[in-house]
Amino acid sequence: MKRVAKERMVLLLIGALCVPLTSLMRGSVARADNSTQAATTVLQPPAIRIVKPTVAIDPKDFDGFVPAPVAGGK
Amino acid sequence: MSHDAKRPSRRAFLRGAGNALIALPTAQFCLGRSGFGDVLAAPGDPTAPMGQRLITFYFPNGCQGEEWNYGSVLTPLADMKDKLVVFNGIDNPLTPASGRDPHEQGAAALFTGALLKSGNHGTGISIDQWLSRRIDMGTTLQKPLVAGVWRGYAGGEFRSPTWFTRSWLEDGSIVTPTIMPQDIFKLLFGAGQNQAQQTQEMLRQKSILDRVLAQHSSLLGSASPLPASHKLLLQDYTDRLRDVEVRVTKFAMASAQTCALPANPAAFKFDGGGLLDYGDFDEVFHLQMDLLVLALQCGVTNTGSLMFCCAGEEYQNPDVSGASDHGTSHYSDEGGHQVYLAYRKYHMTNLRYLLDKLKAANLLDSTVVIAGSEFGDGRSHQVDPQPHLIAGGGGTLKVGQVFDGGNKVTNCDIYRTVLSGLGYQMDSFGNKSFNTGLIKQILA
Amino acid sequence: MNTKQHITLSLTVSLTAALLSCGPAQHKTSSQRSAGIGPGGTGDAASQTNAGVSSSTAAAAAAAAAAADQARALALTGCYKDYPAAQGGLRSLSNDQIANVLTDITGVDLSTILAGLPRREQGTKFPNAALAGPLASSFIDKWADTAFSVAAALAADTGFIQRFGGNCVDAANPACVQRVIKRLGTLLWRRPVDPSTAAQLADLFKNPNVSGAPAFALGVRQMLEVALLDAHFLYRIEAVRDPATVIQPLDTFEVASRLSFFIWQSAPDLPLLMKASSGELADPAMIAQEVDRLLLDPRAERGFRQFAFDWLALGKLDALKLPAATAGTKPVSFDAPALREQAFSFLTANLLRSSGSVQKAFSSSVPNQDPSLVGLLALPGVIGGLSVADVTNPVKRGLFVNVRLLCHDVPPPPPGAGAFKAETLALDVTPRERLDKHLTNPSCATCHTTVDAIGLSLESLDAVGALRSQYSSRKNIDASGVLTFDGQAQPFKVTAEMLKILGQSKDVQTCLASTLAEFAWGAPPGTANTCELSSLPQPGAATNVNSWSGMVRALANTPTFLQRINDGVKP
Repeated sequence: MKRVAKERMVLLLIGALCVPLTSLMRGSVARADNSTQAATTVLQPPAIRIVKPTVAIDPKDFDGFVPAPVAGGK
Repeated sequence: MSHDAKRPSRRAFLRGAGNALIALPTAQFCLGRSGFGDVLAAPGDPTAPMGQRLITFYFPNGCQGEEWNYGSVLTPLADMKDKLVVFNGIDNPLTPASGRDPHEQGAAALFTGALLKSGNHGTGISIDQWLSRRIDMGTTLQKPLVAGVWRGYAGGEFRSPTWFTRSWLEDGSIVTPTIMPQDIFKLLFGAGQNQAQQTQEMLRQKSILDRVLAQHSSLLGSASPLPASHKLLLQDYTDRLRDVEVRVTKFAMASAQTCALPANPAAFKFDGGGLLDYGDFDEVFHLQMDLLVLALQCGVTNTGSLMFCCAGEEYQNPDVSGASDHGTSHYSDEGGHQVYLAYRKYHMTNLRYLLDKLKAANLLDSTVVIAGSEFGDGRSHQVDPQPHLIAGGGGTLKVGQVFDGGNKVTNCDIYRTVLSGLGYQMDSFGNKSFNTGLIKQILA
Repeated sequence: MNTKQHITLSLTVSLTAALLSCGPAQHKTSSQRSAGIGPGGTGDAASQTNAGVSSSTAAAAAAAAAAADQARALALTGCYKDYPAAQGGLRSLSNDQIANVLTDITGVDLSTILAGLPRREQGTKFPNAALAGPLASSFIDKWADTAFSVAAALAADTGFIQRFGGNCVDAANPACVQRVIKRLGTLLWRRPVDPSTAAQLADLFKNPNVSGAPAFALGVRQMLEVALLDAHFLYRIEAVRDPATVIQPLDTFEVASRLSFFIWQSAPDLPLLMKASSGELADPAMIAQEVDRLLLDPRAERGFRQFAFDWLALGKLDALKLPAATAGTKPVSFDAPALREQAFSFLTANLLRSSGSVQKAFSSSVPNQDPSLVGLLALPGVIGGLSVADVTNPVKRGLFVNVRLLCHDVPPPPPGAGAFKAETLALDVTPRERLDKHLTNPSCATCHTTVDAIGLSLESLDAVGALRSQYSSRKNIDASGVLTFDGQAQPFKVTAEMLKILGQSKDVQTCLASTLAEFAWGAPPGTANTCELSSLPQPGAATNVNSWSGMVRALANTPTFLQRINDGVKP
């Protein structure tokens, strides 16, 4: 019982460390990525970045909403 | 944001000695602000004397120096000469200095004595805006009434706003004229409903505007996700909305008018939007002049700017000629010359109309009217002499004379002298280096 | 296995697992979360860097600075260094766009009220670039007035209340109120309404101080007033998410607006907004799909018409006044709206759809026109208006073709050059004879050889585009000349030949592409990102980017269109 609990605690601790550790990893890997990019792809611009929003439109707000009919080209 | 906390201080601000009244109250950063501080009267200075009024009046395509007299184009004004100062030989150093089109820069130098910057900005305040800042009579329209007519189309393109702006703010931003008489009417007199209804509606509109202004704080504050240049533009928009809110507040608080509102607001409604027809210029411009005089009479404002045509306008009046104003300014024979002169005279009849209206309202003597155009001879776009004329004088100018500046006295000198006569002393008006000195002969 | 080994193994296993599972995300387009910038919300500029660990350590701060420098350096390579500086600006909506947005969203005819909005001519080829400037106070005065009038008109329209209120029009019901606020705010501001803002706006439905008005309709009216006066309606606002870098990402809602304002001259519709909301629009494949959908919508023709109107200055027709018929002379009939419509139909048929092409636009026959004269320059709606009254102006026409169709930068004449005043022309001197001076004077000849060659050849077309061989003075019109393209001199004897040479030149194709790019990118004329343009598929007979639709597809896929410049950072 005690042994299992200890192991569990250790695993929990490791798990707890995982988050900041891997963030560091991600950061450093990202930096590593940048540096490899810099070395070999100076003439290639970065890919187009488009940011996803955090605030979304709630589709329920538009339940049953009928948009105005489209006017034809004038 | 508590609106109640704001209201008393704003009211006090507006009714107090508003010498430091600025139309952009919260703008710490203005678009290209330059050197205005030395001209603004310091807070605490005595209030500007009551009854100071000033109107600027523009006509297009210049006038040759040798025709700027009572024997020629000024004939329509000849029997009023004891109320006028005609300026010959006025130098305009600004147009050659800027290198921009003489129509454009000549007209932009009028009433400002300042140079155009790149793009659509000037660098100096116009005299009507300048004076309006110093007069607070609790008027509803706390700034000049800026009106005019133009089409602004020439050479396959529409003109940029520097061509149809005669009223400029100190940061060089433009105040384009309002055209439609019904819009001007609303600016001056509100919706014209009965007072109780008007108050209720104006208070409601005020609360809407206050809410919008508060919503903008997220765009303008330090947490804003926008770069500085965008914040500037949105600050400008917000400030203009605040002007509307101030005016709406005043309408709500206004007590009975000191003069009767026009009984027939419908008379000032002009049908037609978009591009004004040349054939309608005359009627609309006369309605604008009527409204301006009415506004002065009722104390709604003390300053005005009237613009007939944009600079270089291809204006055509069938009563004058089938040829255009700008076209004949490049005349090559005597026939064309006569048409050109006929157009100048037509513009002077419009000026005469304004002066007669002011006189009938007992306002002419207490008003300074400054009339002018972009340059001298239109054929070659000859920069000098730049035609100027002053009427009325406000009791501070020696009218009834013809002044010859010998091509040394500049347009800046005229504007500085006018303000000096009205009691405002300054080292220069407009571009410092183009001021040569006060014109003592026209000071009373 | 003893405990120690167990623990070691567990550690190893879990660390490995951690590395594998919590490792760097493999994103095609790196995604960053951004907060909404709707009214009441603030942009979340802080939630940026991939280094999620707190930057209090010196190492992390230095790394962040290095990454920023690197990004800046990367930004300056390739076509990024040619980004037009003005492309990053804030844009107000043009008067036409305001009308389109309101019509599309409300379905109510507001044209009478909106007709009162003052014109905002800015002296530039496209209003786009000029819309980046400050608004005149006279415009804002009138805009405030207009907003109050529009709100009143809409709130009085039962169909409108029904559409937006649905079955829930009770001002005392908070859910109904929130729903209508969200519907109006989302569509008019082109992004979701920040929840705290929506909550505050509920006040508009309480305690109406206008007695007698139905509470819900009054609430809607006030919500509309707020929505229209707020800067988020009148302006297209794009946030800075990465203050240190030059090239800025847009969020999906900003991309949606760019697409719809480019192709439709209007706000995104609900389906496009929902694709932005779900994040799908971050995927280039989805963007391409939406571009196709937008191009097939009837509103695309409206957007195309706006482009054509601006590109060919079709508004100038309204300024053309022809003298009334006088005794002995042929009456000149001129119906500006009809001729403009004819020009639109021609261009729509020959240039808009994928079946259209630049070549067709310059070679197709024109209805009611002499069969020898083809292409858009033979349209009375295009060539008309380049005259003063009924006297044609070859210099104006030559300039028009050079600037708008060939993208030649023609500087203004030197001071003292004098002006060609058609009305003061002596009757027995033809324009060609009079303009000879241009060719003998070297300072004039540089520009005027091309300008006059085209303009004088177009003299075969009178003020309203009808074919003529003589002036009213009975002097013959000499429409011959030489055009030089790609260093090759190409002589012509008649106008039809000149039009053919023009239409087949490469200049005219590349000019249209860069013109459309300026329109799309909101850049002032002559400042298109030429590097990026040259990396696009070039218009040409065998390509699929030869029509307006084809060019739109290509442009909507470029980094210059899908990203912007942080004009707060100097490269």
